[in-house]
Amino acid sequence: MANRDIICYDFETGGRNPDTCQPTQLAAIALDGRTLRKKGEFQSMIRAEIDDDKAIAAGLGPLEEGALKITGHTREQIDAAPSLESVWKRFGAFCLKYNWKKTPFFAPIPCGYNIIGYDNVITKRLCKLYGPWSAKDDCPTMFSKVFKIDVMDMMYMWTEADPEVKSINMAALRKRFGMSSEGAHDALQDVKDTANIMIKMLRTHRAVYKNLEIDDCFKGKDLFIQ
Amino acid sequence: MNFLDDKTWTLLQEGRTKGVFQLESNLGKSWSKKVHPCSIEELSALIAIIRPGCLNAMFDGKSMSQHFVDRKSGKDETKFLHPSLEPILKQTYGVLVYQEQAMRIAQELAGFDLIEADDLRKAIGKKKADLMALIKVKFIAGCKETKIVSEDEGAEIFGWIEKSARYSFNKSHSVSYAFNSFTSAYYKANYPIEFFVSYLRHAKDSPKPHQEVYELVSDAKMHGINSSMCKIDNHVEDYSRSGDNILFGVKSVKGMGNIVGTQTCQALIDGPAELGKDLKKMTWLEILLYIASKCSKTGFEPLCSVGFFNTTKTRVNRNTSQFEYDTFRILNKNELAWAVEQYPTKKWKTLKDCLVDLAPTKKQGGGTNTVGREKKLLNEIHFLDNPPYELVDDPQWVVESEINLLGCPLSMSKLETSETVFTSNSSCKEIVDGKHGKNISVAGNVYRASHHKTKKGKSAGELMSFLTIEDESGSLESVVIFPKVRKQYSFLLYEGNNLLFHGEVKRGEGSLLVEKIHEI
Repeated sequence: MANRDIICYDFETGGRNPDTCQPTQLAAIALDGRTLRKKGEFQSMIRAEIDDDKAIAAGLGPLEEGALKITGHTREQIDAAPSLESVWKRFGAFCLKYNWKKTPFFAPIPCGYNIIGYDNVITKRLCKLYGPWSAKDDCPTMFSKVFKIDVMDMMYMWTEADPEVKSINMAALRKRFGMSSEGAHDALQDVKDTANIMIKMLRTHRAVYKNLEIDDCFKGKDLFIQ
Repeated sequence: MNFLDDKTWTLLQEGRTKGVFQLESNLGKSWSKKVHPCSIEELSALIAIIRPGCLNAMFDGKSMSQHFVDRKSGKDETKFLHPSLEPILKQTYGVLVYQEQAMRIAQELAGFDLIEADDLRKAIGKKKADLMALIKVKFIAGCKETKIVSEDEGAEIFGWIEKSARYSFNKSHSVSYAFNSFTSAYYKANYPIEFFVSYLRHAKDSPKPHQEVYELVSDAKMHGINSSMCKIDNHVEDYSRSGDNILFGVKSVKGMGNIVGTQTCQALIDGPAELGKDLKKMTWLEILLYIASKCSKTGFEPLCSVGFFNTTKTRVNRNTSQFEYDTFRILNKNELAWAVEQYPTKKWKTLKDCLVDLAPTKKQGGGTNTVGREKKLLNEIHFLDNPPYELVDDPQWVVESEINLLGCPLSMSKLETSETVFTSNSSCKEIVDGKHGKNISVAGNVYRASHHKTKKGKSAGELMSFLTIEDESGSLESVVIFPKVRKQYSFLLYEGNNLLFHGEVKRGEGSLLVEKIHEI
């Protein structure tokens, strides 16, 4: 199964709605699907529409002060960054590097914290605008269309039965894993931290799997749900 | 051609038969070693006995093919069903290999004429049971008349011929094949570079072209012939000889089929002509302006990925060339024309210098038509100064790109991408060349892994694995992992993994029987 590479990625945005927010930073770490070794790193600020009226007129969410405060980016910095289209094209080229057969089947697996509900939604929107997009399958082709690793879901699966766990947000996870919170909400630092947590948990998965007894486990026995 | 050529017979006897007619499969290679042919007659028998019928025809607990080998090597005594069969079956050690032998038996023992004997051949070849029954009656009657064998012996011999119908082969075919096999082996042994170049040029016609290229390059390495990708300053169109090595040409790259490849090769001629400069002396920017502009994306980008433009003159690595080519492709027709027109006077050194002059609008003295285009080019200049990802050629990426685009890694082996320090005492080539003993350790990248259920023994029904591994010296096709060992290491046995194997190679067998595995 692990014959695809993994792209762990994260957007910093000027709002919370993935359907309309403007990305202001994009970072990614490419990992070898087998060894989980780092293969590459991507990082770029993204120019966004800083004039709120123009943003609203274009159907985009204006940059929210709260969001800018969290990321620490100023409107001037954002205005001086390369355009969204050019960053997206470069990101597409970066992801393609890790699709070693250059076919949709071998496209890298997207990974990140809450990507299913957030980053992947933005990705779909940007791919529709700037590509790569498959009209036939109605989905982006830069990532695997089947597999995705959402670290939030991954952590939920591991911790859901532990009454002592109150939160699995990134701040709580950093604390639990003994990681520094310095640089939090910088896309690259966030993506590095997410990748580290994912690698730790995936290695644990692999070790557990070796002793997992699931072959024919229901054979001749009662199913949980009849 | 010299049919007594030692080099050719040695090649056949050592099973180095990749690319040799009829013997290039793993089966052909291993049985070539077992049969150890020394003449066209034996080569013909080898070709006949590695057919499925003969391999599957069991007699006294082993296949007829194995009987042939064991009798030839002296391990078993050569037996004949009846002394009268000896002159007919002597050359094949008592094994009925050919249909023609059955015909002769019928002639000698049952007095068949040539037409009757041919009827027998037809019945054997086409497996016609009704015709066989008729011939049987005639055969036994014939034996009674000639009195060389008794009626009972005649019936027994005919029963034996009947059984041989499952595996015996037409000798005229087999000998013709043997001549073709010898011919290809002769060229491989005596003109190896030309042999490999020729086979590589035809690899595209095989069902799995990239696998064919991989195997040929690996085999060439075992013959001491290295392969490399040509560069822009020594480029060739197709696979070619370069001294004692093989050079991959422009059209060897995936996607560079006839039209695209021809267009690119033409651009490599037209570009320098337009600039009035030798191709070898062109800078990277000149290559972009005068050559890339004449190629399609599919005809230029793959060349960046295989390091075609990485020379001492251009000093541009694979990732940088790809990245800058992506930037260059953003220029529209007018902007490109402006850059080409201005180049002879401006003589920019880098793409960035060119874009800096090009970005301003024409009103401002630049080459763009609108402010929007100017902004777009300023974006690209930003990326040339601050690439969003590192433009280094990671060894693993290099190897994967080469496998994808060329069919095999040329710059380094996959094993060399391993970051782990390991110690082995043998190479793949040493084992293929006969190194044997206990405590053999060899590091290799798993090129192919197949897993089969065992049929016999204590572990019947359990999986065992057969691997082909490779290192920088070549490949080893016979790495055997029995069920007990496999259970411990099954998670490591996947294609592409770098592993260190410890085990035993028995004398004359060339197979590594694995005892321990470490991931590296």
